[in-house]
Amino acid sequence: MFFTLLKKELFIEFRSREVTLSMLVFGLSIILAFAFTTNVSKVIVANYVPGMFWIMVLFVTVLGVHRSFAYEKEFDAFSMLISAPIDRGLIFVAKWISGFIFLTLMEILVAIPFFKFLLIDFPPDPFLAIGTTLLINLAIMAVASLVSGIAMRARLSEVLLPVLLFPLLSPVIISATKISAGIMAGDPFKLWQIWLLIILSIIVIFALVGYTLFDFITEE
Amino acid sequence: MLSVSHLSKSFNYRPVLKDITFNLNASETIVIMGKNGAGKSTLLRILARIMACDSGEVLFQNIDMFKGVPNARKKLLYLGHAPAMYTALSAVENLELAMDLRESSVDQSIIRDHLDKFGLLDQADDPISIYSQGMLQRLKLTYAELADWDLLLIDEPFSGLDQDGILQMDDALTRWKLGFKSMCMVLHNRERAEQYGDRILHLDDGLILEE
Repeated sequence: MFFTLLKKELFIEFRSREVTLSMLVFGLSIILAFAFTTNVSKVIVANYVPGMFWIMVLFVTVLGVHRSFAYEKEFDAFSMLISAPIDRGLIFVAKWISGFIFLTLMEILVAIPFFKFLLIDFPPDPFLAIGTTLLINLAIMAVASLVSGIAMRARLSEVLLPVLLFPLLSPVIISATKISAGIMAGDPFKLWQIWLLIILSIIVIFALVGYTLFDFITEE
Repeated sequence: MLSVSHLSKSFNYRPVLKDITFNLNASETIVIMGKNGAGKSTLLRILARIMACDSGEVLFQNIDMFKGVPNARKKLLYLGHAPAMYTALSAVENLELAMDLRESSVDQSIIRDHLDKFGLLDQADDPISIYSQGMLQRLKLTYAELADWDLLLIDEPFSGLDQDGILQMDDALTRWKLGFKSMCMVLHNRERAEQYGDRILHLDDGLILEE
């Protein structure tokens, strides 16, 4: 059943391209804004780059998850899902994994413009950077999918979503920035492993909470 | 088949359903009537577990619907006001998805045959966002024909239908009734309520009264 739900998420996105396209355009706009407003030396910019990247991801995530849950409200489509004889926790897992795929896809597409426009070097260990980025994406989407599920039933969901999501994602964004800064500087793993442990803990906690609570929070 | 006990629901502290209790027997059809805003649609959405209630119990085939057991909804089909389908997908894709979610995969040719029966074959591959209200009602009717259900919760089945659509809906409801299916439907038309309903329940001021 999970694969049916995941296929549905990916297929709807393949048809409409609303989530990925809006994330991509918004992400590129933020990169351009950063590039034109940080007219300082390469060394100074390099110190702020990890934070800039994850702030961009934070904004883009809000847009992506909002759209991903907004189309469930059109024609009351979500009723088809929740009235079906399926484990509602799997709806959360499908939303989480599809969101992870869309976010990763967006990051792949904006990575080169990001490094080129901000005139910075690629990370010294690209595989480590990619591996940690994937884990951070999982953590971001676990939190975002749960909060979006809660906010979607609210009348002012577009306002409620960032208000709830930004504070809850702060530990993820702070940890992500510390990890990326460590990797960019070529610091040994021991110096930033605690931040990675925080990311792993957030993935486990929010995945379990989301899976368990989705049965109840999806009801009107 | 369905046992509803002491069901209550409020919106912003305003009670909409007060201590609703009724039973629906196998192969019986209940029609719920009442004024606009009486809580008829709310009641159906609670029975389908789309909406949460404040208190009460709903047993469907002796399984507590509020205990979170997914299989409790296996033989229950809810068709509300809205189509409850995805605007980006076509009629065929939506029906395939709906059937997959009910763990009863149906061959695409069967889906197309049913869509043809309800006059939707020419638009079967178009996204349903371009469908008219009547076409969406026919699409819901196709879904009900394809799905395997014991209890149908249907909200205003005739709304938005043209004369042909009304005849098709009438034919389907009569067939299901003769096929000993159970239905709980919301209707506004008294003549139709008497035609389909074995019992008519009135919702008024949050209370249910049986005729």
